[in-house]
Amino acid sequence: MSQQLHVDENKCAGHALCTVIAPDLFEMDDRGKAIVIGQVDDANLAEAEEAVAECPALAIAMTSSGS
Amino acid sequence: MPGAGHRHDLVGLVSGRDGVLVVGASLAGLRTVHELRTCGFDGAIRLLGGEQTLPYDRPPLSKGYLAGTVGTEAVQLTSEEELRSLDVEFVRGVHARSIDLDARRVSCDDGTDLAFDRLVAATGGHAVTPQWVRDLPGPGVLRTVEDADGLRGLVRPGTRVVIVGGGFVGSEVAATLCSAGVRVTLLVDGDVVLGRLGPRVAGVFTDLLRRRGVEVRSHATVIDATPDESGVHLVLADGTTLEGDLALAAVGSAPTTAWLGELAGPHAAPMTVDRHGRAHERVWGAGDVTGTGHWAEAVRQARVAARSIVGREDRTTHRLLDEVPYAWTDQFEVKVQTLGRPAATDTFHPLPGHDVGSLCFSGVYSRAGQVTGAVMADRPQDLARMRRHLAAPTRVSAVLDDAVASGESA
Ligand SMILES: Cc1cc2nc3c(=O)[nH]c(=O)nc-3n(C[C@H](O)[C@H](O)[C@H](O)COP(=O)(O)OP(=O)(O)OC[C@H]3O[C@@H](n4cnc5c(N)ncnc54)[C@H](O)[C@@H]3O)c2cc1C
Repeated sequence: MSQQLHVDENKCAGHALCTVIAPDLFEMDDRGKAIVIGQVDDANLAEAEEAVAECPALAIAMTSSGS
Repeated sequence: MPGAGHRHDLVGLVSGRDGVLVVGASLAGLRTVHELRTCGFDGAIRLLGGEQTLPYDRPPLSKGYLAGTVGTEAVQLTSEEELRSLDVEFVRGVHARSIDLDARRVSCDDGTDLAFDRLVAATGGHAVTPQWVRDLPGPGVLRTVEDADGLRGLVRPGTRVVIVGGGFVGSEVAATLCSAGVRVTLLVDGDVVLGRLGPRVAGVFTDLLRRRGVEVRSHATVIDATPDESGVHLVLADGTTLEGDLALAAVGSAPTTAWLGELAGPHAAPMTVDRHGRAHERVWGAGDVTGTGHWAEAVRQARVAARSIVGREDRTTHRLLDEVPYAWTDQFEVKVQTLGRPAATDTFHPLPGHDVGSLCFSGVYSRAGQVTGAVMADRPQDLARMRRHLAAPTRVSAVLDDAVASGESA
């Protein structure tokens, strides 16, 4: 099992909190939308979960996928 | 375990033991409900909303929704399905009229009384509606989706619209309508639009509006307006007159507190809350009703209030309590993001190498050498770093040195 992060572009309003909480996992693109730049692993899972919970626009989701 | 039986405890003579009544079903109200459930609150929740619609989002009303580039789905904050899964009873189209703190009861305009154990006031704000706009055709102000629909239905390319007020909403509506071929005159009471950003930053956005065809008139105040066969006839304080097909007052919003009685100050003063959003042993407030006026702040306050209600004090609670105020506005294609609460009189420093005139820049504001805020125009990539700088008291020289050290330039 691995965890996959998704940003809903329509909901993302560019607040960039995810890039503060998990700079290795998110970056702002030049349209001001967050994009996923890293893989979730044991070391950053807590940060990933926090980024999901903290997004003011509720735009980030994490799903498990079979590996 | 509280079950469905708690529901009706909220109504009638018996007070619910753990029922939360949220008044105002928009951003702050809905996010309060969301956070209560996320934090494991399993008591009854009732959400009372004055509007007939499902909760919707306001920022698009002056941007894409007004332009017609996004539809109703883009403003929807939730769905019937999500409301069911949040196990919230949503009462729509009913307004709270008054509150009785001793009896723990809210009286509504449909004649019902709703009891509560704890209450969250999230009734937001309403557009300030000057007397002169009341008799004019069209919505006159922009706050609700009906206002936006009304305005959109009345403008065509070539329609002459006079917008009064150059704050966030007035300038955005001017940009949106002008891009659609509407002939816009924007009256501002000071020198520039977006005056809160200080003369230097405000100046470039005033110039942008002018370059795109908006006629911006400084130091212009409307004292009277009358509808006539050809549209509207406005009289300004300096005695000049102005004709248009339509006029819109974008002169700010006022917190909707009339129903709160002693919990709000006199003369439409905002509700007073402590840093946890608490106003009274059993009452909290979140969002524009507390006088804040920005989207991200409404979300933050809603989450803080919900956490205070359930007594959750963890790392997230502390981060929310310390969060740097954030807001944004779209000026044509330029997204302008602000952090902190700079005053218009603070000194503005573009980051080294950033050119304000290029409309792609970041900069910080300072007072007595201390950073008070930041602005990013079309520079979302700087937001995270600026948030970190503003998280603690910082000297402006430290921010500017850091920008040089990290080799940042626009
Ligand atoms: C056109 C427009 C554009 C905006 N753009 C931006 C932007 O770009 N960036 C930004 O940061 N912010 C923006 N804002 C501000 C942002 O939308 C508000 O901060 C936000 O809506 C606040 O949410 P709220 O839930 O506190 O209040 P509101 O959104 O005002 O909602 C309050 C709700 O309570 C209901 N209500 C009122 N009285 C009662 C009552 N007595 N009983 C029951 N229900 C009641 C109302 O009907 C309403 O649905 C914009 C606002 C407008 C109007």
